[in-house]
Amino acid sequence: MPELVDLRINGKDFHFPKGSNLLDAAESVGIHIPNLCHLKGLKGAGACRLCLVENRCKTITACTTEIKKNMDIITDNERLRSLRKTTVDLILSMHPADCMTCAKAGDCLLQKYACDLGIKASSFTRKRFAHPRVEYSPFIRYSQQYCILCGRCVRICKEQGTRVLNIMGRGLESRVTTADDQSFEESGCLFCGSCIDVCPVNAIAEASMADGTIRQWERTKAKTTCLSCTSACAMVTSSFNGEILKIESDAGANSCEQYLCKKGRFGFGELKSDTRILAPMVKQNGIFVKTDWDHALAVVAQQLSETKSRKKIVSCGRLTNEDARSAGRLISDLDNCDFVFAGESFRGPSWPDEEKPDIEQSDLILIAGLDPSQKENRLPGFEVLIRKKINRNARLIVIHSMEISLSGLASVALHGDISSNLKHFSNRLNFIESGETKHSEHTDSSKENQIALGVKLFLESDKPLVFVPPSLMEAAKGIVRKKGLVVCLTYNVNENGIKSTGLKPAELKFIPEATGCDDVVYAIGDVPYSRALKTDYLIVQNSHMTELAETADVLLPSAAFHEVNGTITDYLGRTRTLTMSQKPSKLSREHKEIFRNIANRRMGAIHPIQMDSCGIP
Amino acid sequence: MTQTENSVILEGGWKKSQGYCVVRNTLNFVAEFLDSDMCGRCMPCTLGIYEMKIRLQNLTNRAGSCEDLDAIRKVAVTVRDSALCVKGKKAARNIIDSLERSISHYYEHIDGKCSFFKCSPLYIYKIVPDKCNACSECLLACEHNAVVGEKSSRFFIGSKAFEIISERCVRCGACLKVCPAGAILPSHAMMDNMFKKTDFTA
Repeated sequence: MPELVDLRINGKDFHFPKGSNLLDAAESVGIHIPNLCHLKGLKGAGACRLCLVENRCKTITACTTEIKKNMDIITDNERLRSLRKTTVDLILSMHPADCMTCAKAGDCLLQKYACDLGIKASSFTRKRFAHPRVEYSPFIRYSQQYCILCGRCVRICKEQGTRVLNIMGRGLESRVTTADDQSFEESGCLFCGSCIDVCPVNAIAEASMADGTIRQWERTKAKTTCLSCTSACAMVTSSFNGEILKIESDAGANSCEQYLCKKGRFGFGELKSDTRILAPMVKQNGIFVKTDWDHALAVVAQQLSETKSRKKIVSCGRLTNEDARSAGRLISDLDNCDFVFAGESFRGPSWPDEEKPDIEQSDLILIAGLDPSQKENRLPGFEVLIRKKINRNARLIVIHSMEISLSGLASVALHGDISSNLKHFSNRLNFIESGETKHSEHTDSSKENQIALGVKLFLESDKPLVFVPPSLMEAAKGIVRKKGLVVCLTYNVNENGIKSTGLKPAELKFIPEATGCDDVVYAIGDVPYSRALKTDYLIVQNSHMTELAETADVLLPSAAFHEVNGTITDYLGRTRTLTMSQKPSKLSREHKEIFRNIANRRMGAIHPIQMDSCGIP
Repeated sequence: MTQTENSVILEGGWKKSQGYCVVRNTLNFVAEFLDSDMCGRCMPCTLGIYEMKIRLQNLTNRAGSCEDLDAIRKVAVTVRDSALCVKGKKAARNIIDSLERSISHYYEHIDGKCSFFKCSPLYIYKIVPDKCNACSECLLACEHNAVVGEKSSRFFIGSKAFEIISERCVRCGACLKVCPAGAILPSHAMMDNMFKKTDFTA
């Protein structure tokens, strides 16, 4: 337990953990100190000077101050308010006065503080910086005339490792820009859009939200979870009239998981793309013919009901728990039918329910056989999570066949044969823990030193977490015998959830080439096999047309994850909710609805089409 | 001191103008701080000192008013109390000191008078008609065609005094230096059409 420190704020006594930030601590007990440049979880910058507080006649900025005992803080008095008012007034004098048409109106911190401090209009001369620049990269619109030089975008970009933005120049020539004023595309920006999340004013925003015609308060917000990859980042969507306008990250400003990659943030346009499957289709004479649900369901039900044929149901893991339950009921009824996950799956979470892994508390992360990379869009949310944890003083051990982007940040990086390194690591760890006198040493002495250091860090840590792909799960279990937990990161985002509903895969590794012996394959979701599966009959149930879908015999249009309500269980075992933000296109149905319809059809009776809770038939 | 109309012409005005103008000094100090020393990383200092520069420019350009003084005072106090670093705080303290020590000079500038003859929009060069002997040295020295008059010739008795057109005069002081009779002196006369607009882009 961290040591608690007593101090007084505005006359009331509080206890906070030692070393915490004064601004964050006050916020946690409901005392808001105005700030424009602070980012929770990051070191304070002290650029805006709005968070000045008085500590026994000494004026300090709350964002750069650590809690010490016997502080007597006053956060608000005449003098402080006058200082804040003049500062905000000065910022307003340098800011375009177009609140009326600005897209950020309602969500703008500058507007909020001007209102709180009672500033109707700036009392200083109207000025502007001499370098207006408006850039519309594919996704991000950067209007420099609104920038107040708070530096939040620079600091978040640095924290995430991309580092394309910086404040160049000094004095009045200061401006936030990329190296050599390159465009965002040239500068190496990955378009994650975190700068959009943190900008307090309208300087950096989505290119699609350039005009403010739909105001912030007219939009409906819905908290949901991204199912694009296993990182399962939390997001909140802003929609208007059933159409998504904007997506922001929602893990919480203080969380190390506050991130959304470009797919999650800007990818909602694909819900209306040309490749969307709009109606059930059956292949006749080599071309797809549109049909109605009745006919398509009849065909599918008939194919699945053949008792003699071997059936395989392949899921990409993007089903919600509710979809999985519905599928489970359908599958239990079918003869000669196996369920598998696309890609490799693992036996099951290795932790009992009471002891789920806690990523916030963990102080050591060991990744083996994984190469999370924002640049290559491979588990980007996970890579940023590790970077943020390291910034908050967690340690990283990397075991991989070659150098990865995170190797530079690791305290110990073991490259080479992954299983042998893992084996040596766990042997040495267990040897030290059990106190034996002999252990097999690694032939390479530098590796031996690295392993020794890694083991030492592991033993010193409080809550280590080991992240592995399914193939290394068994080997990794050897490391966590005494403490720590193994977390498996699979291709399938809701694998934990689907398995928890009772739907267990028949094989742990689905090999598409081996489907020659299956007569019917029913692929649910975006199953990532582009070659034609060797099967007699292929049913694809997905929202978009894929290479696999081109070769299908029946296409069933399903709703995408923005269009459903449901829950999933993420890779850390937490239950996450999905909320519908956009209405699905007319003939698309949720997965669970389709399974129900097929099951009904199979019973022979033609039931009236059931409406689910969203009122979608 | 002789007084003619609403202007005050000082005897030995040339020597008097060798002193420094407090307001101009403060303006130079602020302008130099903006151009070189300022880091621009904290908001009150960057924006505040720029605001002060504009206000001081107003004072030295005959566009000054009490509002400008109030703004300077308010901003300087804010920068002194809330700037990030000592540089900004010291700059603000210097300005506050200058305001306190020499507030009368600031008020003079608001009234349109610069006692030290340093703020060019606030004074003019005038040729004392009694002393002028129309030798035309000043006309030849002036590069801005601001002096008009007819040179005295040997054939005519008497001469008409030369005149300086204040709109064209930039107060470079060339005529002042070459006048053998010492007839050109700075004067506090107000010129209503000498208003200069401040460019507000940084």
